[in-house]
Amino acid sequence: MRDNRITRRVPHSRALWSLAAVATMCIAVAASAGVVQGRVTPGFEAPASSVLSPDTIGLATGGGTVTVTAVPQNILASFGINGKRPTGFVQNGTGTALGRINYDKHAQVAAGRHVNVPVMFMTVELSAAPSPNGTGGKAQLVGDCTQANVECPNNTPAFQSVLVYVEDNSDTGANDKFQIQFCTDPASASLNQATCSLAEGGPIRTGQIQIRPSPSGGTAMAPTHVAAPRLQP
Amino acid sequence: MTKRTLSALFATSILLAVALALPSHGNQAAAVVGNSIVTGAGAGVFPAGASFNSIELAGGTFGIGAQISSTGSADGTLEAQFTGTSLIGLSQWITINGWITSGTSNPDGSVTLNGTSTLDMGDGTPPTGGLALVVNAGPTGITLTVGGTTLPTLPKSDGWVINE
Repeated sequence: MRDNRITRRVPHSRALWSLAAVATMCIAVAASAGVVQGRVTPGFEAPASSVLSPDTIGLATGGGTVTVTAVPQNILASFGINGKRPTGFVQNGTGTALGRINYDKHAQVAAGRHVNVPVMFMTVELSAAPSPNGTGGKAQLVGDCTQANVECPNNTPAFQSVLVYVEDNSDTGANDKFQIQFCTDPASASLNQATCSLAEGGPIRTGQIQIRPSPSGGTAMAPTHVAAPRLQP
Repeated sequence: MTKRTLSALFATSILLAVALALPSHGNQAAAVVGNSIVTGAGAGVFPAGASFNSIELAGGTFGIGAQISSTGSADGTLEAQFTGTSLIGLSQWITINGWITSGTSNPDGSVTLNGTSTLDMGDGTPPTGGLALVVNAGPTGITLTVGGTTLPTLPKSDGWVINE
């Protein structure tokens, strides 16, 4: 009888141990999946690169004004930019990106003074010494002039893409840079700059550029001191 | 009895696995990219009578680049510059630089962005930093609230404010 009881208990405890093993496996799989997902999450593994890279994960935002050199007098232009990697971004050298480039010259210009294009590609270089807010770096955004409902300056042959280069060198906007060019090459991450117009812009006049490896989650601390440069009307 | 125990253990293991898997998925969604992109650059003319800090406002320009995440946190910047005339008739440029830290998309297509700003009245006094900023921007114009004071709405007559 005793033997029978033992033989009845042995399979029972085996089953329990088996189930415990299954549960452990399930937990391990779930946890490891999270780890794998974490590895592709921006900010966890995006390394600070030393050059503009189509594979670097980052965000570029900016708004402000620049002075455009022109004759008989310089022109004031406002800009707003956004660039980010799409969900499921694959680091395969194509530099796919989402975002928008808005650029508005505040004066009449024969070729057209409006730029409103979606961002298709982006290259990013994150600063090796970011600000306390975790921002800093450089980025190139490539917009597409061939899509519907976009605006680009007139040209013959027609401009097919817009190339924006921005630098984030400080939290106050001082020494940040915004440059824009218009190109006859189609939009791509490796745009042939020989097909582009001369760059407009340069050091920003007001506003700022922010380049960061990942969303801050609203934790970024804004500068509490001078940010706007003194201007002469 | 054994079957019940087995079922309970099995259910517990599945629940544990699901519970562990879900939070990591949620964190990833919040960390990767924002759900909304707000871009703008443009200009406008104030209606007659618009004023701020005794400056009669004439017009203004703006530039916006912000990305709002699914959690409501946001990253980006706003810059606005309003031109006006002081009480003694001098031209004055008022500049507002803002860091955006949170935002929401509104049903009417506009967005409300919150952050911290620096205000330069352009009259020679030092700029004031650390002011709470609320921006309401949409296809028709932008309204700024700086340090609790709401400035007149700048109707947009040129450029864009695009929330996508």
